Amino acid sequence: MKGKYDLPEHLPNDELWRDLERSKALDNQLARELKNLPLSTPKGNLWLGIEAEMDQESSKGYYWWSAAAILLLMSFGYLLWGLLSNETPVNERNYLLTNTYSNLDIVMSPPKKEEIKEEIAVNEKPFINQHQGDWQKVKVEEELALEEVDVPVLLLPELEPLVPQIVSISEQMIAKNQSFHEVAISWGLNDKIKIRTAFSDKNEALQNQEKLQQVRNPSGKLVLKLSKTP
Amino acid sequence: MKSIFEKDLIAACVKQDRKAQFELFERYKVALYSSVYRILNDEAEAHDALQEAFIEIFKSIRKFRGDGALGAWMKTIAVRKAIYMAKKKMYFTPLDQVDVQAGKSELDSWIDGEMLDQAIRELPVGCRSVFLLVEVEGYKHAECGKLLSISESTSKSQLFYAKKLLKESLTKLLKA
Repeated sequence: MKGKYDLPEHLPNDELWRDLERSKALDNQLARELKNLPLSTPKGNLWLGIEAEMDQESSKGYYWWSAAAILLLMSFGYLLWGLLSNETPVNERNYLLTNTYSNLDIVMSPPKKEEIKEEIAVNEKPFINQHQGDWQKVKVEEELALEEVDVPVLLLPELEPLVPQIVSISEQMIAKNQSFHEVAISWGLNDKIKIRTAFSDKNEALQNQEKLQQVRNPSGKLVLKLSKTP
Repeated sequence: MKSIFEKDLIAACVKQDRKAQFELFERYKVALYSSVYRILNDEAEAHDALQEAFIEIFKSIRKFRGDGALGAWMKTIAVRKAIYMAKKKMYFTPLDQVDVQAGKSELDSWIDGEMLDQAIRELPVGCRSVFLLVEVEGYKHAECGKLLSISESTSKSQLFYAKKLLKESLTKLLKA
């Protein structure tokens, strides 16, 4: 390995190989290479997102500040109105006697009951005094009765009575439509109707028989012709 | 010079200056997205998490005292957002069912960042989160446990498990 120049050669330290081997140790390699970890770059739209978020937060802040200012003004106005108005509140006007330093003698006696006199309503009526033959107003005790009052009639709307519409079926219409069914009901023909009275005594059975006879006597027949409606 | 400009940028962001906010976004979007994407392993979710993180950063930038670097402060917010989102589908493999015997610690060869990134993405979500928080983001086990709602010892054991899986995965990748 002689070069252009005849320079002397130097031998490395005997520990070099050991040091090199030692540098292969994981901890040593980590300590060295952790500083050389590759860097990553974020996407270009990251700033736009941050800006939008900050704008939104600042507008939110403005909204809360204005809301707080309005509330403060309202409460201040209410306090000012309370101070300026001279009217004492109703609940304090008569009953605010809680001042312990007051020299007033407050009589704590129960209120006296006032007697209520009952008086009959009287009416003054003129009549002739027979002894003197002159008109005089004399007080006559006469109870006044409540007069009847004409109560106004409620003006309710008059409703027209509902009239059922009668639909007449002409004979021609009936004749035109053929009869499909004929039902005949007759009564008073069957004499062999028996009444089962398992729990009744004989007298009751006779009475029932008589009642049934009364029903049977007026015999008749009812014929219904059912036809198809137009 | 840069730090002075950063101070001006922060002052403008406190006043909700939209141009300053955009400048801040442009400066840190790649670093934050890389961390968030590695935790969530899903582009759409990482996108949402980063959007929420930046909104929170702009809202709470007046709280930044300037004790540490602005980038680190922003990264904390972003990582927390990502962890919060990942928690919905996070599970921790019970280690009593797994063989966690320590084997050979060396790999057969040397790896690069791309290979390591691929191996990290193949890890289960629970131990991956622990690995990233402790080894990449520099959280202590107690902080990591608090963030992931697990105990400190679980965090330690999950990290051990993650390294074991990483080694297996990297060995396969080196042989391929």
